[in-house]
Amino acid sequence: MSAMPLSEIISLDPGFNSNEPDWLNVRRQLAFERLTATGLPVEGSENWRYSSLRSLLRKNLNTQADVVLESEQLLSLAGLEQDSYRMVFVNGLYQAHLSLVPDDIKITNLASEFENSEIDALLGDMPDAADAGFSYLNTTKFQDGLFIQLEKNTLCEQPVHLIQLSAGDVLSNARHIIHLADGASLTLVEQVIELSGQTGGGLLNTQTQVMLADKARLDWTRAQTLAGKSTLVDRVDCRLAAGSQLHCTHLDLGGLWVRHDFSVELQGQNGFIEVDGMVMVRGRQHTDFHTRIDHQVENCTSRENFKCIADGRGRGVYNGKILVQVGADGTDSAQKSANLLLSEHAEIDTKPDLEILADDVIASHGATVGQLDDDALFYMRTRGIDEKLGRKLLMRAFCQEVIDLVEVESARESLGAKLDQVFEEMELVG
Amino acid sequence: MSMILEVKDLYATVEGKEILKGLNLTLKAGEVHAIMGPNGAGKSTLGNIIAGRDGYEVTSGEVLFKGKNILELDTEERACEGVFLAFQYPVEIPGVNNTYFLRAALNAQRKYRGEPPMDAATFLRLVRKKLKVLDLKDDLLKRAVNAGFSGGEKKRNEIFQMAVLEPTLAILDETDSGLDIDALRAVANGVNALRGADRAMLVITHYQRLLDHIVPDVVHVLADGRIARSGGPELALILEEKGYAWLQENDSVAVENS
Repeated sequence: MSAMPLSEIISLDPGFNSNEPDWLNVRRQLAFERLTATGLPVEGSENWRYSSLRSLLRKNLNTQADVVLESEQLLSLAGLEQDSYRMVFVNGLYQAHLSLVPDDIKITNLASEFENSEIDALLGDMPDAADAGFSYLNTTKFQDGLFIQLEKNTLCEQPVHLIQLSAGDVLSNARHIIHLADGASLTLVEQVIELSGQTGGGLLNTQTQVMLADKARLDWTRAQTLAGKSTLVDRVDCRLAAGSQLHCTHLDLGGLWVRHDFSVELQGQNGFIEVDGMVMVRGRQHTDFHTRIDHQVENCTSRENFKCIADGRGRGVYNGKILVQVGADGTDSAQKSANLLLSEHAEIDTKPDLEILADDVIASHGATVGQLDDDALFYMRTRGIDEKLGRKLLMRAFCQEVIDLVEVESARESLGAKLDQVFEEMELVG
Repeated sequence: MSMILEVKDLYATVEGKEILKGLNLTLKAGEVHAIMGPNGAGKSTLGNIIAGRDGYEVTSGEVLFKGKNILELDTEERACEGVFLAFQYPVEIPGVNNTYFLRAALNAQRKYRGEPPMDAATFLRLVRKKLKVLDLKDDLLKRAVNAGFSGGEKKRNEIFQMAVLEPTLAILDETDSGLDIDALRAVANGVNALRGADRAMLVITHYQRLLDHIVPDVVHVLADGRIARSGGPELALILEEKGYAWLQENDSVAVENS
């Protein structure tokens, strides 16, 4: 099939695929019906008001690209060791020869589990909303994804790396499931990378379902360093049972147009969610980060710490929805959004969005937009550090708080190095 | 003795207001001068102009550092030439590690002088030596620049930076303000340890008490934008006893001008 614009791709009926189980065919058909009814979100929708899809819809996309990737290349690209546990996907398709997983734990690719009757339930209810078009698109088209299912009290000692490579002008739809049973614990390091040598300009439409059972714990780092023309639409839905903990740190440095929807339902008491993000937009980059934290029961804690640096004509959007439902007393919620605006043409839109329906609640939020501190720059200059280096040090300092939240040392270091590289490039363009 | 700093008939304005009105000052290598004076006399303005802070406009006169006109240089170039300003209010830079910052500064200065950068290990040996001389704690190295420091810690950190960067001219802008007696003594000890034949220091202070610990060669009184009196350390004692009002009352009293 040749390349066609996204606006046409969404009208392609997935049809009936006899190689796939019935539940999947049913799901795809339902998703297609809804997609046909809603289309992709338009600007009129409140949740998408800052992110116009107009140019995205015109984008010509292929269904697949020829990619030959050797193990050595992958390891160097993703900064991994020979023995790092890893699940590798290129344009949403599983690469068994590049992957390495422990054999005593269920970490596999989703397609290999299609006959598993549990999967349908784990994928959860399909959203039913006018602006869920990308989610429907993903369901009609996904071929594969990561499937992790840790049994009760299983601890995966080594971090698992999820590597998603984008290659060429391809629409890819990956679908991931992470399911941790009671007391299980996992450290996941996800990277969304452009495969070098490719032209870039693809659209990744990824969707991830996370389920943490009682006292399960997931530490998740997500770094996105796509090339300048690529786009990413990323949706994450998390459900947290009693006493479970999720720490998730995002770093967004690349991509021309990026949208994240990160949604968490706190369904059991004493659940803990911390979701943080460091977003960098320059040139004409656009990154829109929506979070939604739904406190459904008593005594849960949520923390959000988002930072954005906008330079050039970049635009950073942050919308932090916190919903505290009736009866969710003892909720402790804090949200911070700190932003640096480095150019007069750059734009930051940050919006705390709190809806509190319970009485006994702590919910703090704060948003700041500022520039680099002139006093600090002068101070550094009196020590011999010129303005360029001073600006770099201050930007790095601004980001450091979020970088420090990354638990895996090698990931923390490689993220820091990626940031430094971006700051270097900023110097070149002035 | 070679000339370190020559300020000649300096006039300067801040936000259109004339602060310095014909200031003259000469420091030679090996000397420590104190500048005292009432609030608003222009003490800090002088330090800021020498360091090159924005917002200060020199309307006439010149400032020579080792014979070179430094008013034409950028702030960082002045620092690389060997000018150091210890701030009255050191700036907090959260997220920037003190050691990293100081090595970046030292290496920027070395680069300016055409020297190779100092590697991390050598640098660490250097800073540990300096910490010892100044009797400072190791944890200073691990913290972010001045972030969350107490007033005393900030001032000590200034002196520590000065010790590592080894400037030719050090200007201490009210380094004693806000210090208790122990911190004051520690800062003074640090400064005294750095006195040397090749270095000059300009100690700006409001009170005499710092000068009990850092005994200057010359004391100047800055009033209304110019040096009103100059003398030996005893001048500071007279001021302490009689107050700055004494200056106006004794306008005609001749004080030896060094």
